[in-house]
Amino acid sequence: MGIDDFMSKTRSKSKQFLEQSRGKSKEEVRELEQQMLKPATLPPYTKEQANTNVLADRGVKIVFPDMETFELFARHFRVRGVGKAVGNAVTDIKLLILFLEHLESGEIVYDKENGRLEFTGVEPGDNQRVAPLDGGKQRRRT
Amino acid sequence: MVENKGAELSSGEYNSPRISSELPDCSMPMTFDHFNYCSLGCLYCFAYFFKSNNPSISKVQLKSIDVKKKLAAMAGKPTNKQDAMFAEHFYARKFLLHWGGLADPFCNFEKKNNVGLRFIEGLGELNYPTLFSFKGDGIFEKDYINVFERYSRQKNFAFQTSIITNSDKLSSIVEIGVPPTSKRLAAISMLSDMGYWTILRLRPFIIGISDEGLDELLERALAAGIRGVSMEFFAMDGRANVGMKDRYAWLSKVMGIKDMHKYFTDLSPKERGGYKRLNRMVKEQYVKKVYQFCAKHGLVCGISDPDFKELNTSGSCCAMPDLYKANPLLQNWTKNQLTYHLKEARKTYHKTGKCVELTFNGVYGEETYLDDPRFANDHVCVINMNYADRANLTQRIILREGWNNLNSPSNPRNYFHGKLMPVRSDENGDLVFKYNPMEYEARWADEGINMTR
Repeated sequence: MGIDDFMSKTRSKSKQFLEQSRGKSKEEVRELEQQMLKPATLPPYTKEQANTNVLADRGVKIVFPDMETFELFARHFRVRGVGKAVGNAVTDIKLLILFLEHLESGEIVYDKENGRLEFTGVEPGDNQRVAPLDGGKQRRRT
Repeated sequence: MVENKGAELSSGEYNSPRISSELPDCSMPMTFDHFNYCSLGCLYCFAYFFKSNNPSISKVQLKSIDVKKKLAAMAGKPTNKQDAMFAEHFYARKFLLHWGGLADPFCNFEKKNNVGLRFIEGLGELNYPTLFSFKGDGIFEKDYINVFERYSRQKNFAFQTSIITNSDKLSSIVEIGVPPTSKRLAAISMLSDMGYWTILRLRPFIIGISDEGLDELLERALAAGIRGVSMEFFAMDGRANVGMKDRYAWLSKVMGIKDMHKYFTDLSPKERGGYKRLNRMVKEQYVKKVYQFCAKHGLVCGISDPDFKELNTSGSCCAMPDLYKANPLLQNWTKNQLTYHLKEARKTYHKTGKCVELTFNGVYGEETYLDDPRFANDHVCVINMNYADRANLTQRIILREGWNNLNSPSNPRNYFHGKLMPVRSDENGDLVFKYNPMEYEARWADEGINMTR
């Protein structure tokens, strides 16, 4: 259905109502309004939908392996709403962002195989990016 | 239901202003009251539901703003966080203060305590642009007349006087404890004579009450010196407790309605949700009368109702002027909202035949307060929201989600009931809405009504 189809449903209803309500009492006009002037339903929109939950796109759920790890996390990040209907949430993630930026810049590297973090001494702003260690070998690329 | 008792101030400060929930199409989103309650007893009052009739409020305690702190903030020296955020985003650029959102600036509480008087003096000294929406007769007291006369030369104040019927008798039935229509017209006259911009605020326009004697009321208001008319129809909230139901029952008798709930439910579009505003066919004849009257007399026509919003002749549906040479600060309201853009779309269509498309970024532009999370806490949607979402929520996100959600009553398609229709998505993933010309526009144009003003 196009835009015009919606418009046509109201054609001349207003004019008809004005003609029929002339000279009638207040109460009769109210009754006539209810009989003649009910609104049409909007036609459906069938094209591409848009994003309706902006914040959800920027959120992520993290499930910890056990309560001990959860409590470790909670000691460093303020977890609010624990156990309440609104759900657990972290509002201040500055520490996390800082850590990720150091990881991204190469100041810290993550040795996934050995489960270690290493400080490389690379200053932030250096042109070299150091990829994470892979099988013990360190790769450099400019 | 707890009634207001007495006019004595309690301890504690009232926090105002706040951001209006009518943000999507409001030119003055900074809404202000200097008391937390109003002493007037208008049966139709929508604020009643949120204030003394609010079931979560167990005791009504009258509080006021701290005048000294508020004026300091407006002068660029805020003393607390709340004032600092308004100072940063609004006071620094002298954004227009709209006074009278949920309470009357000149009601009995003001007559008893004179808090507002001190604040008005301060606003005058600062040449701060302020629009009053009022019907109380405290404005006739000598001190208030003197202060408004004192600042009349700089014209930083403007006034909307609420009048909903031509008849003093009908007014006394519907607006308990409020000065009659004649007295309010006298207030318009007094302020117009001082040289101020005055507006007839036909809000709410109640079918069955406001239509009686409408022609005469418009003429009387014109004779009193109005420069604009602002109109919005009475709506019935679907959430009605005992207090509201009693009021609706009383109103329905005067309106000529047998069953208030059925009348408003039958005649209100479902897409608009539980705040039942009737539909444009029911309203057309009254809007037409006001639009033609304004055109004939060169008045600003302000349609605050979502139906016929496109007929606004300035970008502010409170009938504030686009241009005000006497004091350009009164132009400090925002065009980054749908009233302005819908008005422009209507004018473009009738001048050129082109149906304009509106994008989210095009309508809401760059308003700094929309991106400050601190302001989002004024919105009712934060209730039951988790803290992480709440800490990151902004008014712009709220607007965007309504804009894109075709099930939301605040979506432009639903709110204006078909006046704007979604046609596609833009490069940002937001819906694009197109102006939808309607049957009445062709009919009015054929009758010789100017649709381009």
